[in-house]
Amino acid sequence: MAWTYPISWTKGALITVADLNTYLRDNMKDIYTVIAVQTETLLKNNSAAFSDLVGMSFSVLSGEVWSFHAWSYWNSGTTPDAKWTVTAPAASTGRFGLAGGGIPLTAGNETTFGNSIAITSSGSSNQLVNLAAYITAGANGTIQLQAAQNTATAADSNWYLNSFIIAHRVSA
Amino acid sequence: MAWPWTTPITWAASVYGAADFNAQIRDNQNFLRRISVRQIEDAVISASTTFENLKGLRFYGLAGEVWAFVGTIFWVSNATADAKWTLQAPKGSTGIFGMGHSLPITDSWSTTFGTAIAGGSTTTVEDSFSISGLVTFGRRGEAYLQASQNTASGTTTFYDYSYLAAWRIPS
Repeated sequence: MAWTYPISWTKGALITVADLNTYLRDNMKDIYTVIAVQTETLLKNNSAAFSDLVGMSFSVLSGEVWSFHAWSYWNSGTTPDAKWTVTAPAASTGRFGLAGGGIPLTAGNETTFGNSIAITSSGSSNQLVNLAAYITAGANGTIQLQAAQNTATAADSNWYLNSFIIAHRVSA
Repeated sequence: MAWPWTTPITWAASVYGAADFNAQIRDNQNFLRRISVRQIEDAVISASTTFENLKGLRFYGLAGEVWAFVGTIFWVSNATADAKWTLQAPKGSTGIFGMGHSLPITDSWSTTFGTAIAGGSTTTVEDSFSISGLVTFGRRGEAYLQASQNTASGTTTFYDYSYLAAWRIPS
């Protein structure tokens, strides 16, 4: 599965099965992109347990390589910090990271899927972080974004619907 | 209109019908469609907080279509003027849009199109915003970016070659 520059089709030329597989099948697979949208707002109050950002996920097959960028819109009030993670099928390898909001991070990337990356709240305002990852799937399954309060705090933290992922399959 | 993704088949010496080509070519190409546009000229704002269009940074949608976009705005301002931007969308549109910056932002996203999102400039240095959003079009029309100074002072420039990419999310 690789990109081959499309040929110019010419009148009278024989279109072969190999042409269709190269210029349709393989090129379509090469540019395949998944956009996954968060379909409901996640509310956390006094909880540091990760929950799925519902909809912020996509399916992978063992051995596939994927990269993604995600934009997570959140609001954690004045006190609670927040954390995110990316879960992946067993034996998956790669790295994921987070940047955003102009807030310095203690650690901004991870190679262990399921570990957290935390950020302090800049205040009682709407905030935005950008997550990214490059993953080789170790098994068939799902790449899933999760979030929670970093320290359980009796105040509302929200991760809003319409946050989204744009994921590209690098190779199959 | 729905354009489902169908895993591309391996073509063989066989007879294919219109349904095959509609699924394998029409629907899959519609599924993968995205647009990429750039700002075609500098927007120079002098002592004004009135929004101006960032020419070229727009995308068109039909009623009910859902589009996601990401991009970067290149700009330079001063510590008094700072800068702000917004996304305009056709009446009845819903969704979200936001901005990332190297400095904290008081309110970095909004669900109300036309709301200003402001970013600070500590000195007169070349700067950039990362932008993103998701729009469900309320009627057919254009979603487009605007920017201005947050406080009227001096000159602020939003540069050409700022850009965005937008994907129509299949229904």
